[in-house]
Amino acid sequence: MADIDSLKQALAVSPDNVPLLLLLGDAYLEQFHLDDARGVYDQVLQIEPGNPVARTHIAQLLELEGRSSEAILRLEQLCAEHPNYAPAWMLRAKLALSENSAGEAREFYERAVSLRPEVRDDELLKRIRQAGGKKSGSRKNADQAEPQRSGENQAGAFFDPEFEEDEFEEDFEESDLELEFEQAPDTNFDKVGGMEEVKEDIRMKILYPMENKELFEAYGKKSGGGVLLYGPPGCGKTLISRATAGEIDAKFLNVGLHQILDMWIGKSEEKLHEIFELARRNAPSVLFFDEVDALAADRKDMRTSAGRTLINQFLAELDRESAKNDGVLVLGATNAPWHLDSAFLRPGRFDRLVFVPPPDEVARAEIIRIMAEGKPVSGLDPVALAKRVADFSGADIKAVFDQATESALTEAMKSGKIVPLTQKQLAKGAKSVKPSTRKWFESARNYALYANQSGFYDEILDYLGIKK
Amino acid sequence: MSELAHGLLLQDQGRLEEAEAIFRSVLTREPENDFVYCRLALCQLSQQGKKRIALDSIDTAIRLRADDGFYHSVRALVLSELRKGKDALASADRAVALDPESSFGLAAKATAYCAMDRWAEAEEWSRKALAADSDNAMAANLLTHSLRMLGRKGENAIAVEQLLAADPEDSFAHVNAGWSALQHGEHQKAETHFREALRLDPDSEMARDGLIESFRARSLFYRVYLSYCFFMQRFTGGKQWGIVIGIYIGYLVIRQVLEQVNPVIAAVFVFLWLALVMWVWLAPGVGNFLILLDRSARLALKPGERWQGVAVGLGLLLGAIGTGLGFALDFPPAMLAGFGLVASTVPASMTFGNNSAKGRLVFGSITGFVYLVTIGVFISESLRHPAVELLATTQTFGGIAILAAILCTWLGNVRSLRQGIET
Repeated sequence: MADIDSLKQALAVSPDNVPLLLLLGDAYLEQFHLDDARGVYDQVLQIEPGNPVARTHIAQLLELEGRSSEAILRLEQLCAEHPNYAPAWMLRAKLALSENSAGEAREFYERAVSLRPEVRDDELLKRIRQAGGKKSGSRKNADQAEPQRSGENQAGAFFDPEFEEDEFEEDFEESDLELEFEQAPDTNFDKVGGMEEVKEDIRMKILYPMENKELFEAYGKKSGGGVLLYGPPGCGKTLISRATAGEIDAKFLNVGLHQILDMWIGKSEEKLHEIFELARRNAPSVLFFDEVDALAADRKDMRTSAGRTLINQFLAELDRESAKNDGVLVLGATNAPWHLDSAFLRPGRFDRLVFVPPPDEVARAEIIRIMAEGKPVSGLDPVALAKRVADFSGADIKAVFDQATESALTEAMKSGKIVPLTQKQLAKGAKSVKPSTRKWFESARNYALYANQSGFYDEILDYLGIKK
Repeated sequence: MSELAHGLLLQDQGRLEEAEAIFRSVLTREPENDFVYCRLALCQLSQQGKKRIALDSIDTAIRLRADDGFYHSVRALVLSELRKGKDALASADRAVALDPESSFGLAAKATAYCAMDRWAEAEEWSRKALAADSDNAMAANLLTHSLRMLGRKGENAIAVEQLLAADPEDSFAHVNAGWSALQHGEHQKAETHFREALRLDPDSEMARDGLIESFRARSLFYRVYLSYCFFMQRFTGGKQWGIVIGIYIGYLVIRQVLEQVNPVIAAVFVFLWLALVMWVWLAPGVGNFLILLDRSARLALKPGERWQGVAVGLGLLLGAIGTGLGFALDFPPAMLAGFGLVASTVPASMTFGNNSAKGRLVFGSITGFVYLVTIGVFISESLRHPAVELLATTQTFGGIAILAAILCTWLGNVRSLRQGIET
């Protein structure tokens, strides 16, 4: 947060600068100087009477003062006037929850996230769920969806209509597991810039076998099953998994570690089983396990027998008779495939490996374009900048933008007006940020050189240009 | 709870940075959790450059719970890594006093003795640790290590066999077996063990270092050098200095005697002595140069080791060519440049691949100086060729460069300039 004194100095030069006033208000709010913050927001409203940012913050201040009813009233009015302003909906969700209206809270939350996904607040969502706030219309949407038939979608063979009949008849719900299906994600390969080799790899290893199920069966091979995506962190494994689900028009269930691991003995196994059951009942579905190395860890590394039983459960779920798991594609993502128990890499389990390297130049340019959205940027050349950030992960590129933003903000505070980010500042940021993927490749190189008897990591050697 | 379990799993998997981040996250919620501080210290202990922080972490754990022998044992391990043997021994004594039956505490005491190069005591306490728990892999490894350092090859071989029989999938046991084989002059067997250790734990630095040594040991000359190293390793720092000074005095005495008997034999003796001294310092660099010529083996080298191989190997090669050509063509500047390049290999061998920042600065500066003098001498003497005698500046700077290179053979014995010990 910008320094209050610097902001005051900047405002002395430009007293009616609304963005600066808002920054000052935020700074006061952060330091809990509520009266000062209110004074600043009121000043903003004198200059721009309808400013939604200031009005939202005033509602927030009222809530902090214990005047929730007044805050709610103001927000209702604000949302009516600015229905597309996500932070107001998000604050309404918080206030509705505090008023014990979990259903309304969920509705407002969903509205906010649909307007601006980056306002997502997992902790709030969790509390809403715990209070009984369910996703409005999820059942309705599912019921209203056009019934699908085999062969209708891009990977029709993957779809098994039998499972449609008892969809949502289970006695446990997504909310019990703090999980949510994305109904056929709107992301697909066309919407993922670059990464052509990875996409082609996935087409060969996942999509084509599903589209040509009979052909594969004629050779005694199964389609579906498990696929392990591995590569350095922050390089798009989750994105490409979601896009894979979009390609086959399947529901996507993103499972995090925290949604499975439980302190009570046996509970984690139960949760894992429930998640698989949920996926089976919602087939065609893609079950995505992030950080799968923790769930499928090498049993030699486990210090407790409790951990081993979870691994056994995971193996058992993957091994269900083919009919049971038919229509369920299990994707696992890890940045440490070498820590997986070898049992998981046997046929029928995670028997196909896809290496997801750092984004290529096209993907980096796309990431740069996305990151520049909504920011004051002048003279941006994403392709030229992409060339400067070779080997950078998405997170590294974000760090480049953060550095450039800080630099621009410093200038803005000095001049008292908005100073756009420049290509030069971004290039300077690219120089000072070191790609985090290098460390991963140092370790990966060792595994590829010394523990690659099965040839699993040949792709890493190819990527590094090492010929053994 | 689940977050902590995940952190412990990551630690077991050797993913120490990730585990450390999780332990720190747990501590933000539970700042008084001594157990987590101890796990944090163990994570930091195994990471480069974090041993000092590890000491802070374990001290915090002990402050929160002073009567846990395990914590004092961990403190002893941290202090041993910091080469503070006496403090480590005090912590280990405290651990043993709190829990006399703890095999871990007894092994920590053996570790403290290892840090002081007191191998006989290290053997004694590792045996005690094994008596308390025969499955203690740390104690078993310490025992084989101390036996090797004591030069008790027979017992060491038996201990290594037992170690591998107890757990053939223990990377550290294979590392120990590899070093034992190297000490016995069996470089192929050593290579097999180090490769196996790397298969089991590809991130093991000890295994990679061992593999490189076994590659270098393919050369007979390098094996001679290794024997010298193994011999010197048995002694503490002070004794090592005593031996070096003793050998040097012996050399001076023999040279004096030979000069009176036969000056030619004395000259040959001096040449052999210089070659021996040079070889002691250049052997690793030459070894790396030879590894660079092997397409498969060179993959094991780190960038610093590659540069060492290039600087030493090419320095010697070009130096010999320059000297030879200068002599053959009667062109003294080339001969002088050849001498300069050969002299530069001594400080260069201690610059690249050196873990000590202070050492890199000292030896790097000397290497740079020798290179500059070599270039300067070559240019200035070439411009006035043919000349009856050398320039005064050539004589002065050339002499300083040679002396600096000789000085390095003494400075190289200063441990803190060669090992990068964290303080």
